[in-house]
Amino acid sequence: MRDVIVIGAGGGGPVVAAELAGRGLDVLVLEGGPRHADPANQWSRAENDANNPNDGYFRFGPEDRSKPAWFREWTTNLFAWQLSGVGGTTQHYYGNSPRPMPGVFRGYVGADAGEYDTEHRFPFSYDEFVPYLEWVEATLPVQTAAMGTKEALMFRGCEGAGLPVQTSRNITRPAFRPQQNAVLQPGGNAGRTDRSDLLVYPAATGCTFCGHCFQGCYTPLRAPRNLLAKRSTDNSYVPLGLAADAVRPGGRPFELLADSFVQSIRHEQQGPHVVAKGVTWRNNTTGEIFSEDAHVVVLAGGATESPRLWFNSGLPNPNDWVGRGHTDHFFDWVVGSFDEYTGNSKGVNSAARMDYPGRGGIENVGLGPAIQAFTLSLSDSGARGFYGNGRGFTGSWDGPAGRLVGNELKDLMMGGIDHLLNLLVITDDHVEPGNRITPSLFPADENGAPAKIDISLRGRKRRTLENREFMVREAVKILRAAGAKKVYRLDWAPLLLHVHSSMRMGESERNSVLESTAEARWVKRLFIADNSALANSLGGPNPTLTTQALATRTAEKIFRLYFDGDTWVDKEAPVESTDPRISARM
Amino acid sequence: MVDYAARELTHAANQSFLPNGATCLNFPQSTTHPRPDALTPSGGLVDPVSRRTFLSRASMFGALVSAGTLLPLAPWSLPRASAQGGTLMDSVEAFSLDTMRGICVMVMPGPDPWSRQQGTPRTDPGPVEVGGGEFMKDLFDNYLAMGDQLARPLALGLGEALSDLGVRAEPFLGLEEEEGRRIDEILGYVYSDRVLPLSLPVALLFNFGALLAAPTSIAGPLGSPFSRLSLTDKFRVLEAIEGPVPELLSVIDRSLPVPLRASASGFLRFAGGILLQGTAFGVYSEMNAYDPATGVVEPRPVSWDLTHYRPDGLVDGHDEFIGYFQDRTEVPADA
Repeated sequence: MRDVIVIGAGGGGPVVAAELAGRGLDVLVLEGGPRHADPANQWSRAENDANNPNDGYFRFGPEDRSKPAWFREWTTNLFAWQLSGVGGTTQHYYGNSPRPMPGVFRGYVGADAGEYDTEHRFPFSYDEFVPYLEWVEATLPVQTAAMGTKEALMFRGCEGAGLPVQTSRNITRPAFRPQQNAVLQPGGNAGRTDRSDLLVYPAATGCTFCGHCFQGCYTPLRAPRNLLAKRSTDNSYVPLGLAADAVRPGGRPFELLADSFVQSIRHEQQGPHVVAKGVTWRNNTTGEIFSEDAHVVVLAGGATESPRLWFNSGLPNPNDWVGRGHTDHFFDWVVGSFDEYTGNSKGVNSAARMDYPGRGGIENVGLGPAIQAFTLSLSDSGARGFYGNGRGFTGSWDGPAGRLVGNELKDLMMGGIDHLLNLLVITDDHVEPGNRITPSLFPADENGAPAKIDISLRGRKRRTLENREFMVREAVKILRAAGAKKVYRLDWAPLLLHVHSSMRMGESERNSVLESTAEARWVKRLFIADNSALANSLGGPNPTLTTQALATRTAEKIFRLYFDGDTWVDKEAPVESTDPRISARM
Repeated sequence: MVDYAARELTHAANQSFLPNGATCLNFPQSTTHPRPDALTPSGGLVDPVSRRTFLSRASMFGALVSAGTLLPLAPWSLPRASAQGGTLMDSVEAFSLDTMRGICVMVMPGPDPWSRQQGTPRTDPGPVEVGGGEFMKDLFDNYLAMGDQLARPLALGLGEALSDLGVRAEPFLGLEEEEGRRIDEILGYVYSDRVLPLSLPVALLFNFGALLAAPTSIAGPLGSPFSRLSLTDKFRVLEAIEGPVPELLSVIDRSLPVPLRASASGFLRFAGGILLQGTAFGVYSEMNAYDPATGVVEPRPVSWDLTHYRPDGLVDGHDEFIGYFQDRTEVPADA
């Protein structure tokens, strides 16, 4: 019998686990994918080696790369780019850690209050949430991004387009700024050389500007794991939790089992309540099945897998909102080609952003050639020059929207990867009940029915569509002001990177799964702590920071409700995950 | 056994391959004969067609269209030996590979015959010479564990769709048990029971679309109808797969048992989309040049030269740090 079992070691699970381990609870963390304990020797900087969805080291699959990836059904031209493994999708994220828009929380009274998804707000106030944001910002830590060439170009474009600079962590007005990133700032030789012999810790600390965030971060070379530049949870909260006894009085390290896929959440009826009792999991390598009981179960499998596990466990779903309301920021992609050097493939992959309260955000994204070509080939508007799927819009960009193909794609790529500049449009997309995760009718795998991802290509709310078009126009304006000689609009088909709110908490029991404590409305002792718990799409900002702040709050709720403990965020100081006491354990 | 297949192929050819005049993708006749009910021909919700049968049909279809290459004047005269054992398997593999090469050059044209055939010849390096087709075939053969439950509706859908269009599908439906068993043994040896090689149904789908877009592509150079198309016609096939009203998939979809209708067609729409994106990712990556044992990329990938990426190879950092915007290195928590 454990105190707490956490399902999933992605962006949210290790936060709950590390916080509760710091309070002395007996915590088991189960992760379905691999644990890359020695990334310098297990990873590379090669794009296909990392991100081939079949056998890349970043994929949704078991530890053994010779085995097939796990199947998920998707109903249309979309691509869900999620990862299994310790660190989950934070292994390849860019560390972007903006705060959510205040307007998506209960009680917001700003002049723009009506511009958000007011039907699906967080069931507590932004003011209540800020201390948790600050706690996570200090723990990771989150820092102001350093600047490379592509950021300097972006800032030039923003100034040219007339945007002011934002100097607050809170988003208050349309403005641009360096990203607040979970990336350690460059120190020593970092960012000042490409010589590997000089980029060894401690002669180099923090970000070396290698440009390979999407392939995972293992620089500076030979740094302790908790001092690697990018603060994915395998570099931050996992080391913090494994060293819980070293940094907190009475702390107790959590136990971490990777390659262990949870098949069901066991539960029983107790009087009027269904109560979670424990979990059953399968070791992917040996096929052995294990079960263990726990006082509390925390589900953090991700916005796709958490509803899947709920369904496969036979848990109740009385209002039919399990799996519904999936939001994905309805991304779009705008690319500028330049005569000058842009530094596209170098440096932190995203270090400049623009926020538009009530609309969404835009950020720059640097890429290598494979992902660059992928992004230029993804569209719901067919192929430029050939067909438009009933779309192929024209606008302030050059030519019709649509994927680049044939000679046009090759010629653009041959213009040089470092003569491109990419802008990701991140829409404030409003919650849609029809965008959802359900059990697939395709054959079950070893872990039960796979998930079916049913996301509409086009059927979004009017406001969502307006927000996306507004942001595209802004992106084009910024690129032109930065000096782009030609601007392309892709009109992306859904690329599911920011996925959230499929098991949403909410103000109303009619359209939410979780109480404001993040406990399931219909299953006691079961909490959810991944992106699926988010109430909405945050107004546009990248979700990881918010998920981790919410997970911190959820850890406190668990501790108070079921372990007779007290809160700590309001009383104590956070432990930075770069703490030397943690380094000594790595 | 084989005589039966050859006879039917001859019969189909003599009737003209698309007797209803289905010369373009907007083939109204294909939508004027909807099936009268939602059930399969056997009357059940799940048709008994097995994975073995599907693969058998698919193999024959692949052999048929690749025979157009081998014997362009007589596509119906399928050699007897080609329906047996390894020869047929080789033919199917070659058919899939040829189709994948035809797809690769849609996103990276080069100096190869597939690029010339689609009308975009170039002198700079392309993906075919460095194994792009093989890479993509491998990706789709191993990417998704597609089991029997999808194989059955795909088999039904493709067969019924061909019939509706006047293409004699019997050769694909009519393999006898012993023949099918022999083919299945070969396939079962190559692939696990749980995984259907996706490159084959994807190739079938694209070539089915090619025959509708340009019926004359049944014969000609290269090894598959899809590869024989112009770039414009290739995109007509893609348009039919992913368009707002996916004509090609609706033809296949309406033959399916009700519970799987949206699932099978949805899967094919996904396949149609990911094929170009996945191909672009593959051919512009280091693909086969990476040695996982040493972590070395050698030789230097074509795409890296084309895009001027990392002239000195992969390094651990760059001299790219130029400071902080307005010299601000932090934002106070309460600001």
